[in-house]
Amino acid sequence: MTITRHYDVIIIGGGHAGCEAASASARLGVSTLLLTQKLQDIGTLSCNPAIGGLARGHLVREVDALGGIMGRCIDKAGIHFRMLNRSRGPAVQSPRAQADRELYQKAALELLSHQENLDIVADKVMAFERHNDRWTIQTKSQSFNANAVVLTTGTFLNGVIHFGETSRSAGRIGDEASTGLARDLANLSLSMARLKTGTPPRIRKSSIDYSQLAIQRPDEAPVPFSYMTDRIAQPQVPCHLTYTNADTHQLIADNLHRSAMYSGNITGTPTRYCPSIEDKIDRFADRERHQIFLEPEGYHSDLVYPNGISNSLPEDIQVQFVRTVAGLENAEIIQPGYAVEYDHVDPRNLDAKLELHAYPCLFLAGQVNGTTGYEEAAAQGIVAGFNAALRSKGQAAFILSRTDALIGVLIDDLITQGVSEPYRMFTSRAEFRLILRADNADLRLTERASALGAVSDARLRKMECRRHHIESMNSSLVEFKIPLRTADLQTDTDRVELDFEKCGLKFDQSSYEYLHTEDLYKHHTRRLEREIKAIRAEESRVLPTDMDPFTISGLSNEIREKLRASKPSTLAEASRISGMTPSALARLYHYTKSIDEVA
Amino acid sequence: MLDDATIIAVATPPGRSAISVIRLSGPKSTDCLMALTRSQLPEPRRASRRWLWDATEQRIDDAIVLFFAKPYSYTGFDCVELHLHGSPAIAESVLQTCLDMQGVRLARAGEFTRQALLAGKLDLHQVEATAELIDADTSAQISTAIAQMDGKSHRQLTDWRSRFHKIAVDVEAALEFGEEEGDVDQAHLSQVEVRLSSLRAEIATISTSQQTHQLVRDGLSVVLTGPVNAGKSTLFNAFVGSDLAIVHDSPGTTRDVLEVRLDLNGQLVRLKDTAGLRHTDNAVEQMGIERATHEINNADIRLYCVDAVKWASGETPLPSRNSSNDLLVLTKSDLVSRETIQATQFDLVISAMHAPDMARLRQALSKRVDQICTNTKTECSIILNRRQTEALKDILFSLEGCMLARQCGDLALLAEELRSIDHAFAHVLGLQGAEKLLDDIFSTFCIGK
Repeated sequence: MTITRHYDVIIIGGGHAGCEAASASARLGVSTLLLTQKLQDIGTLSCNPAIGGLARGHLVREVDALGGIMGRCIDKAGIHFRMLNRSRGPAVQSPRAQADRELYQKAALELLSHQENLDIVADKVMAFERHNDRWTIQTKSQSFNANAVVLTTGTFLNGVIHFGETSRSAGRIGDEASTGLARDLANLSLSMARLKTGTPPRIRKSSIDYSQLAIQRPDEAPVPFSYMTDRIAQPQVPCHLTYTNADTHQLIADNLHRSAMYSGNITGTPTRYCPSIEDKIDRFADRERHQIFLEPEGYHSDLVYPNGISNSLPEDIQVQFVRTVAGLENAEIIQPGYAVEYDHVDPRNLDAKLELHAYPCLFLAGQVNGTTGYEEAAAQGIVAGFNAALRSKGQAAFILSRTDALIGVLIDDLITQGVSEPYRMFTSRAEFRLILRADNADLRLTERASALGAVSDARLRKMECRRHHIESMNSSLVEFKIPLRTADLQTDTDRVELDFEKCGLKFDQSSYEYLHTEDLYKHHTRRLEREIKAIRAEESRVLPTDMDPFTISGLSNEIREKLRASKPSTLAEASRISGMTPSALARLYHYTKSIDEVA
Repeated sequence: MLDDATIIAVATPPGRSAISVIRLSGPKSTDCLMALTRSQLPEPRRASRRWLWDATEQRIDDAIVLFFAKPYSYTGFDCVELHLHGSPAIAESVLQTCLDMQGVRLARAGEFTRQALLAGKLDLHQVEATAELIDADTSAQISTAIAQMDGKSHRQLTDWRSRFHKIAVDVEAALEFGEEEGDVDQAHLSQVEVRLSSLRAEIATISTSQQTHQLVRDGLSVVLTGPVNAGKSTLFNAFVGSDLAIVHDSPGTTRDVLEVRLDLNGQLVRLKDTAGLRHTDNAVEQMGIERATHEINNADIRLYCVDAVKWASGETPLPSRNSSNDLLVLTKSDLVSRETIQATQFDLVISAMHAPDMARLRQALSKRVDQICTNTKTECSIILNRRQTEALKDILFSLEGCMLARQCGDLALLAEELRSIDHAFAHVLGLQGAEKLLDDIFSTFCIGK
């Protein structure tokens, strides 16, 4: 019999959700264990080698403002930084960077291995169960128990890989599917559903003819993700674009029946946000071409990730269609694309802490909840990690609402709406897009994380310093009657900088940009702040955890079932359950008031 | 309604009448009916004749009863209508018998319709139209309310909303998939300004044309004005047919603004008697004059009264019209001989004592009213209620914001204005702001990452 080691919090899974959860929990000062199948899994970019992008860059900034690791990792590993949507307005600008896979993993492992209170163990979980008020975990060689557990098992639950006409049970290529864990999770009898995702073939870099392809250059002055990074040190490389053509489309159309997706072998729901090339050609037959973004996998890697042609066609067809594309005529496919089907837990089993309603102290984060994307996973990981640690300390929960952060929007959507396809973040999902921006995540969130003890003093000081600069700049503008905004940012910056010089004041570029943005949106901000107040009032109408919707009169059975499934904890959450009617809400409101009166 | 109470109310106006109707809605209404009739429930949706009994086994009335089983009723609940003989005592005794039962209470104002709304039997628009129909004083108001019930304006608003929604889809797609995603068609974006402009033109036209309907709904304001002692109050009383206004020889008698609602050939008119205009040191009279001035400025039609005697003597000059709709009236014509006065500049020469004169005045006024209603009426046949008209003003305001945002090139700002517009539509259409935006993006565009 082996000795059972105890931890306050154990994280199962070393993907992006797991890494953030482990770091978040350990930062709160509780003993934390990160259990991963292999050490190399930590910080693996299992799909495309890039972090951020529209809305997702916002998430990374928010994770960073809460003290998370993703922003710091990509700042050390990014080889092609771009600020997206520069021409669309500051509220929707979002950073993205191509990553060197090895550098990213190295950065993640380094940050985690230097994290106090955190142990990392590479082992396979064989069994997992609730024992009295603790969770016990049996691995191949050891046994552990914990006050709270965060499961971040990704796409590994009943994972099935499809290559053309063949399929096999597995996680990612080279990984064993976590079947023992799957069995014990199944024993929890949570409602599950099946989803599908896919990946493109990997191409040997030296087999690509770049001479005729369009070049995409990185930003001249790369903007870091992390508020802790002063500047990006590593050299920046270009990326390349190419396009499918009529020959490509013909070939794929002719062989559609051989695709795993189209032969009826796959039952999981695919994402519309990242469609396979079969889907693009089948559903949008009138398009003459589709873009392929050739993402380098790193400085020294000989692999290229051709973003835009994920598919589940047989390998010979993949080789043929790839070679119809300009620049890829002699492309050598090192690993063919494939589709993955997997189970996920219906996130309506969770509350806003990402804790299961039915199992206290058990948290779920990442793709297991039906999301897609590293950034979505990290965002959930950090919230689950904080709350697992707070739970084990017996402290009040840390909840981000839709009015606080895009992370709040993400979690609220998951727990109230559930998912019908892999969930991806979009800024249009947020009611308060003009306020929840990538440029102010630190001002919105760092203080709150600091109250938990989750950020370093240096980070808190940096945020306070920035706030101070902004405020003093604002008062200078007022004092010297310098108009804040009269034209576009560049013109205004030049003008105000000159005015500041004349008055003998120090001009601070980043503070000025911030004030310029705030001023641009101020008319709407006032209205949005009123709406936020109204939502917060609804959020303060708490529905009791033991509420039985079947004892509340005047609700339809359909609504009662929905309330029972998602167990909203506030009136605000209830209002967002699909199919909720104004009259049912009125009844719930009445119900919370009747409870108040009794209390 | 938030509780499961059964509500009851007398549906007909208070007082004695040939019949009076009591309405019940809610789960207990069937129990009430069985208790009152001491018999089984009648067949639904069929008039039945029953004796009604009170709790002491006394007969109350020989009544016609109607039962509507849920959900096929006005409110969506079980409903009962009792048609009683119109004595207040009978109604009172039926009410009391029902109210003695557990779970039955008096309905609050509008609660039956509120139940219908919450049960989804009526939409907000129909509720408003129903309220306007009930409140209608004149035939013109009735036709306006009926026109609203047919849902034409509802359809127009829905159509506008969906066109804004399509623009929002294009803008959001551009925001979510960035400058470099080739699949988001730039042509869609370049059309945004044209599409917004055409919506603005349409909405502005209909918004302006609502003035007529507002006149129908609120009635035209007709203000009696002129110097003191010009006989305005006498004319006012003659119109009303009773001595509503105090009439006296001493100048400056009228201080307050007196108002009556008149049905003038089916069109509602609010006739107002105001203080005579003169310079005064009397503070109270001065306040009256200020009120009068306010009414005069806001009037649709001004009836300028000039005393025929003072006109003949040259004491009162010819008043100048504010608009061509105004009427110049020479009053007290019975005090002068008609042949001796020059009255060609006046529209009418009348005596309030002379019935045919009053008929001519009514006729002239009616003609003016019709003129105003026809002039403001455009080809547009969409009739909006006040809430919708107000919402359109907000939407037009946000549309200006859209244009500005487009000029400064901030798509996020444009998207925000479009959201405000969508909220305004959702609000006015009585819908929750259910966003189908992403769904629509993905059926329109082929998006890869």
